[in-house]
Amino acid sequence: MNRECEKVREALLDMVYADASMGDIARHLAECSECRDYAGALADIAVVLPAQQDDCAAAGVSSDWARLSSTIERGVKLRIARERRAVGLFALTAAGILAAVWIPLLARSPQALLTLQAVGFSGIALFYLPIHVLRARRGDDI
Amino acid sequence: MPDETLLVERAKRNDRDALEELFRVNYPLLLGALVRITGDARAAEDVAQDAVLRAIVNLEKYEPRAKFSTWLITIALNTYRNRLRRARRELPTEHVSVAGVDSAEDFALGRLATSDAASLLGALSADKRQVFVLKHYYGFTYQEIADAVGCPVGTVRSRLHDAIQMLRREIARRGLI
Repeated sequence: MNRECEKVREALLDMVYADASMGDIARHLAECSECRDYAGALADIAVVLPAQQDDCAAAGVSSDWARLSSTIERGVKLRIARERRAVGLFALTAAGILAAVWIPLLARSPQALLTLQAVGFSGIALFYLPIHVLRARRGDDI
Repeated sequence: MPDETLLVERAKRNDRDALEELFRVNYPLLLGALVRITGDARAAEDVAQDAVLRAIVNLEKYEPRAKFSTWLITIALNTYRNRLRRARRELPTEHVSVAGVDSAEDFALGRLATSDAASLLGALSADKRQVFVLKHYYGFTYQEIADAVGCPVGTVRSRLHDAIQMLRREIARRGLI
């Protein structure tokens, strides 16, 4: 369902639930001066405030493209900074978990050091995975 | 022009060209709506810039179910409401209590009517003006307006109805027809 469907369905709902067809409306307008007045108000407004004028030039102003461009730049920087923070937080959490699990093991057995190194490399790979995914998604440098 | 959904997808990957293209189309629309709603070009520009920044930062939250311009205007109206709240808090008490809420908004934002259309819309209170502008100029559905201004659909209908009656009276009073 697109936006046009939504508008048509809204109009249909208005007609059906108001229990009025176009014929009913025309008949009622012929009899009711208040509603005729209301219909007249809609017509007057359409003349005085043409509804087609839908951009800022029609509203009497022009867009400040230079300011918009710098706002876009700022927005992109904020997005990138947020993504970096997310990656950093992930790395910090991963490092914390690794330390919590492997440091006690290392204290018990020096042989665990080798295992720790293996796991460390896996951890680094795991840490860089989201960065590579982000790069691939965006198609540029992080 | 490239499909809006594709542009948004590219924009979500921080593609600056896509963002520029997206706002090249939608920014004038947004600014036009805000000028009509606030009645002040400078305030409208500030709100529009704030809204653009918020939209970019929160681009993930946009769902292509609605038009991008509709989503953008919704963000802008939230920004505008926040500014009005802040302005009301910062106003001297006598301005609020003596002149009423709408005059307080006018005072806070330095509203200036520059044309018949602008001054006609200025005759409406802020809540009725928002509803009228979104329906009349931008063809929002009742539900979209309700989401944008944060009130039930029934309230939207009654505000629209009141706005139409008030505009009719104002048009007659000024002898515009």
